[in-house]
Amino acid sequence: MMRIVFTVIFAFILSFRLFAEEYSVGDVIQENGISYKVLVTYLVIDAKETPDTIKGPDKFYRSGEVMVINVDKDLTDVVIPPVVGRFRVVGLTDSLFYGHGHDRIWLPELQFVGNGCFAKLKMGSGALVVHNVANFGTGVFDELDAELIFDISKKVTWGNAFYRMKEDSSLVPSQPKGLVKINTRMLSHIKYCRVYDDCYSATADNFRKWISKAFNDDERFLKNDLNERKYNLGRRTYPTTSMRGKNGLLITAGARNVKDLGYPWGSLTRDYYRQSKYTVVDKKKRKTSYYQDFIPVADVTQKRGWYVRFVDGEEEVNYTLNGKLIKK
Amino acid sequence: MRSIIIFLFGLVSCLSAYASQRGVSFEKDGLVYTISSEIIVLEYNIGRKAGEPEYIVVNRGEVYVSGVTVSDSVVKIPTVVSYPSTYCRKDTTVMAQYRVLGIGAKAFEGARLKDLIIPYGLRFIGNEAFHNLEITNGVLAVPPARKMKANIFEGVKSKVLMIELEDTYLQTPVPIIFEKTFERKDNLPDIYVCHANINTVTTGIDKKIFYTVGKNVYKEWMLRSWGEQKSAYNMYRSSLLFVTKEASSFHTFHSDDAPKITFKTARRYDKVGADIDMLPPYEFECRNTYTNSRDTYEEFTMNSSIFRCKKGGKYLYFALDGKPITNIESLLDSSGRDPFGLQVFSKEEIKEKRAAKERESNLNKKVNDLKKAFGF
Repeated sequence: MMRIVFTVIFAFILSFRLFAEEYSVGDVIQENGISYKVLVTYLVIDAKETPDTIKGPDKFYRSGEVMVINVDKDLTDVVIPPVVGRFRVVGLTDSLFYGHGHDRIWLPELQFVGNGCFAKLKMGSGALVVHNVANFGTGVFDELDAELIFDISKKVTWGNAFYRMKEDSSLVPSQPKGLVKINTRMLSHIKYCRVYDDCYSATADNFRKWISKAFNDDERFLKNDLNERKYNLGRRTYPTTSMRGKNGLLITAGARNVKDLGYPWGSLTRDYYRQSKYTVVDKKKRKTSYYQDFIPVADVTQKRGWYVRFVDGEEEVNYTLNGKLIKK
Repeated sequence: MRSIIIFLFGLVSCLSAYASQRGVSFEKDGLVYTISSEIIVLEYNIGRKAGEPEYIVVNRGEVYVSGVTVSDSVVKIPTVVSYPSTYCRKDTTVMAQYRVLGIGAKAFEGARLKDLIIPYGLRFIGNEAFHNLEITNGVLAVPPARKMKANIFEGVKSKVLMIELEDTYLQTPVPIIFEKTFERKDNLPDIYVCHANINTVTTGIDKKIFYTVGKNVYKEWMLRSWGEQKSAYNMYRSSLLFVTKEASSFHTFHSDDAPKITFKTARRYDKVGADIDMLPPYEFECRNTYTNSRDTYEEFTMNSSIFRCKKGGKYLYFALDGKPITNIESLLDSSGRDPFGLQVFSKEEIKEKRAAKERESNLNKKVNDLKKAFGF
């Protein structure tokens, strides 16, 4: 009995360590035959933590965004989760599924899908279901050998998703070999896309039947139980003092697009070069500032125990937890 | 509207007589038609040569498609069908021209056709008209009919493309009346409409059953029916707008020295409701400027000097200027027929009347003789 208890405790500690593993920008995470590259990291806190329980910098850990850079060709079913560890999956790299053959692919809501991502992909179930994607690259569905079902609920920037770039950089129309299908309620979101005049739509029940068929009536896919709410991404907004306090800082961790720093991740559109961004609100002065990095600093010489430092380029600013600027 | 009226004034000079063989069926080009109503019209003989009559007699009327006799072929429902009606007047070789009003109940039940081309502007499509119909080309394109009756598409073994969910008349949307068209949903085929049509306001149908398709898919399916003639669809439709949409026709008879008499032949499509398969008889509305009255007649016929109307089972005769003729007997021939061939009185009645008249005249003569003899 004791052996079982120790095994459980050991497994818990091991999983905790795994969860707590810190990644930095550029690191590759491999899980279930899928590789993810870390695009950006930022500091978050556990959802249960409060300013009263955060006694020092050790309560902060890294979360961020990753994109899928490789999928094992031998996988029958590809399930790309919305979250890996503490990292949100935000996109698929260029040509990710180029020439692949999979039975079913489950995709989360994504910020971007790279150029030629699903080009020449063959689907065993006969259809590829794409959920909300904020931005598409070029030639994303070029010669997709399956039907394409858009299960969207938001506005989409179609870009050149249904065009292919020729050698002389000119664009020519390109679309899947199969039908393009969408929910009738969402027709307005595809109205200005090139495939509007070629697509089919169905209302709720019939549309569900299309999706059900695309996943071979497998309820695990249909229930959409890969909801990101199950995952612990951490809390991105945290005050340095009690929420009711009039003094202090309210810090929100996030990321922003950086357009002027080149293409660090291959030929992916530059909109998705991501950089951490901290929005800091001085509650007393009602003043908002933006910084690239946030460093909680443990300084034993400070009477209050620890303080916060923000860095943006060469600028470095230190605040007490009450929001008071610490002069050098 | 004005141009239509002017055109009709020019086209139709006058109405001649009323006849009916409603309910009679005939077969032509693989389709069975049933006559809903019929009328004989005198048309002005345009371009007539010397010796030819000023007017020619044509039979007109309405039919609906009540069956199909062919299979595995392309069947096109025309807008007008010509047929040598047995009710045509004997003195003419012109065939009767019937406007195709609609498709009757179960007209295409169980049929297997390569394609079925349905024209625009039909008045109705009857109950279960396409029940278990199979279109081997894959798509049954159905233009809007003013009334779509119960379970029209039940059991159709191909896709159904409903071209529009509303009709237009002079660029004004006219709603289609759906009467339990999609009531039984168990055996419905996939029914497609164009993306834009899904927002059309309809009453009586749950639009959740519809799939929608984009313009390109829609055109491709339509052209599959209409062959390679890309503009045929639009031309066909515009030609039908005139032919099928007028609610009534006006016919005016007047000369310089006579008052104007205007007749309106009302076809009461929209009044008949559920009995639209069998139209009511024509109705002739007459505004007589001589008597300054407006009447509605069941029948109307005329020749070069008089016209005859029927109201409440009674025949009335008028001169062309609208003056009522009260002495009907003066119009009758020796056999008791009026100038239009109607037997007003039987031979016995005429004989009796004439004998009575003779007796009366004899009696009057005797009375006059007696008056003279006694010096009155």
